[in-house]
Amino acid sequence: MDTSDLIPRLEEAVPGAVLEVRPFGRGGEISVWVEAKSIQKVAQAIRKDVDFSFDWLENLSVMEVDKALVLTYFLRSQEKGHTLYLRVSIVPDSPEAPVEMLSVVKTWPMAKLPELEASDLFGIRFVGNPVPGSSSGRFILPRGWVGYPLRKSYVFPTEFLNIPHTRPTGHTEPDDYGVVT
Amino acid sequence: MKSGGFHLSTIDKVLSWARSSSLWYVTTGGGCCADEILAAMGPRYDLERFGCVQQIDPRQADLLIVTGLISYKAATHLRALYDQMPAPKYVMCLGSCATGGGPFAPEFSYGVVPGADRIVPVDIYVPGCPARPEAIMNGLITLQEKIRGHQRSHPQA
Repeated sequence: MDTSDLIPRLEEAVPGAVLEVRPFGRGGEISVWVEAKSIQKVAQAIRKDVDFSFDWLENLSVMEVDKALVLTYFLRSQEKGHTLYLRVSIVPDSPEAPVEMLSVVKTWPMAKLPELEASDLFGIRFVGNPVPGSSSGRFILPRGWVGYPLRKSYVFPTEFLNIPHTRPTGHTEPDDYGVVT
Repeated sequence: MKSGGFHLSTIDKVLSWARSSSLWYVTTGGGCCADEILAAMGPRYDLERFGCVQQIDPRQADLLIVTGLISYKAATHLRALYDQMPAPKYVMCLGSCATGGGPFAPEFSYGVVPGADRIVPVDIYVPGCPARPEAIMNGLITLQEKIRGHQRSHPQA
């Protein structure tokens, strides 16, 4: 049974959730773009499917494409050996603003830490993540950090904890790489 | 002396000789410079013949060797490590990352402190990426000379 056989079942289980099916990489695998608001239902449906049972979230990656944040869920079924890539795009109100997304921790408990990482670095608030303060706190970055560093609109800080984030000034001649600091 | 005070010149000499001859160090243990310290501790270079023994407890150390890059999250912990050491204490910056952020700070990474001298007072810098064991030995000997009040390799003009 091929992964593309999953698509009609998915459309039956969650009507209107599948937006697009595209090839992913060179291995002949497919990526399925789904609606952001129905990600939890889609996750449950492909987890419970008897022939596929995607029970293993390998990775959760985020990238910024134009104004949208694209989340990719790398899925694998341990018993059947299938691979699937779920893709979701969400658009924040402004380039610096945080954005909300539904958590898939109930379906795949291993999503807990990747979601925290994404919320820290990209400003995606995962609703339903069980870690206390996961909608507002900092996990990888120190407390009091401002901004989401992997957004393209992010500007490097000039100082943090009174430690300046600059080189000592006073060099007027360019160094070996042509950089004047 | 009229006021009944006394000089410590000879004792100071003995004390500084003793301090410089038993520089027990604690390292932060980050980055590849930590491996070079391990190599310097080994039988080929044998750091212990200079009186340098590695300590795990900062309360029993005289020298803090900062290796590897320091993130802003680790900066407070590095300061706490330094504050726990009993005076007189010395700090050595080992390698490019600890000295100035290395290839990361401040242009290419938002989270790396550009140099340990922003957090702790540094006595001696050892360049290199990573610094070779000979360079570490040279830095330690130079620090010993500094503690004794000598100038070894840089005669005054």
